[in-house]
Amino acid sequence: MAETYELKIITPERVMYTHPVTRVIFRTTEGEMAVLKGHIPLTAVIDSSVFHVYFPDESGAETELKLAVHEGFVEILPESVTLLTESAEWPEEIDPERAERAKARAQERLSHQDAKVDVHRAELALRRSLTRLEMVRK
Amino acid sequence: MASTREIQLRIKSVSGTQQITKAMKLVSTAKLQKIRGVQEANKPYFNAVYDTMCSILATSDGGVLRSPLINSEERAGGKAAYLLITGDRGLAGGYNANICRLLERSIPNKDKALIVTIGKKGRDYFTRRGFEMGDHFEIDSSVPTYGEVSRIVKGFTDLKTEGKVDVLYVVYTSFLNTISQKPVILKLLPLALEDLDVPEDPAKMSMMNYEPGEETVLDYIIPKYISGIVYGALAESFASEEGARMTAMDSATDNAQEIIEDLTLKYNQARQSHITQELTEIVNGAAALEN
Repeated sequence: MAETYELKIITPERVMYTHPVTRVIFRTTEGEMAVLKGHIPLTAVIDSSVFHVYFPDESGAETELKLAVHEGFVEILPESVTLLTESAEWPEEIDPERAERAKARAQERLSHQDAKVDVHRAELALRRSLTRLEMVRK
Repeated sequence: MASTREIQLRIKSVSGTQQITKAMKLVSTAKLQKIRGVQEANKPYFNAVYDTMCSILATSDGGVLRSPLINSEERAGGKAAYLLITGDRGLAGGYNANICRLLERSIPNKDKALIVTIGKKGRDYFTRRGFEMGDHFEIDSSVPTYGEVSRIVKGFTDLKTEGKVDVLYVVYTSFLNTISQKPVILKLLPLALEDLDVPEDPAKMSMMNYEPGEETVLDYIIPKYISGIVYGALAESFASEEGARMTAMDSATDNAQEIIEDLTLKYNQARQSHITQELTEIVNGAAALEN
């Protein structure tokens, strides 16, 4: 079994998760990345995406946990990983219908571009809704 | 002396007021507890962001200092923007007045100040005195959410990045305990590097790598750090407001109690003298008949 290290997920409103894990996989602005124990120290800005956490359960088998993370950064040290994000959600906190509506709304805004539309904001909203949908569908 | 009926009416009205002040105190106590919980929950996040920012600043060379958020070059002739946090409502003792007075006194030149406000009381105060007013934000809930704060901070720091002002301050009330709160003016930007607790041993920290790069990460983190400070300031202000209101309402309740006791005494005196008078009249009447 792979060695474990401490993962902490912190948002402004709560400490979401602290647990020893064997592996995490996530997407930075530069591309996908997996972190095992003993990684070189690295701070990376992450993209709105699904954050995968693998931890050993009581029998030692690897279990997967997923959460949607919108914007944030990870601080990786050889013995620990800290994810700091302004907003993160567990799958059960996501309302697929709402995400679907948000996606449609954002696409609508982007396709009828005029001066009033804040393109950047609409794109962010679209990315967020896509992340949410990706997570609940899988 | 007022008639017994009049005194009774006054006692009734004062005890009505007392009930209201008592209820307001209870509400404030509950809100205060809630906001203290939020403050506690926010601490780990803020500390982590702060540490990361300090370690980047410690390891990086001059390059990152060119960021418009750190740069202290004066482009707008030394103009300063103040983010003033007050309450929407009064009846909180000196809470709103203290902070407005502190800010007004510490602005050296009216023409070089731009006031951005959260809360109606502060806006009213400075509008009346003819200051230049920036945006106004309102927070409806009794607990600020991080999303709202990010939006406010974005608008506020844009003033600096767009070169409209040179210095940003946040003006808030620091919560010492429920009976004492202190108004504070805190400089947000440009970041004063000497004020930050940058780690002593840069050799240890220089192991850290950054992706995509130091400057990008720093540009991402500084706004988070500022949001964190403003969020903290907002939470402290909210706590102070509730604390001040609690104390004010507590003393109002005590005062009402005092008035009621005073009035009850007067009422009893009036009642007694009324009875005495009636008795005298009866006795006199009886005596007159006997004669």
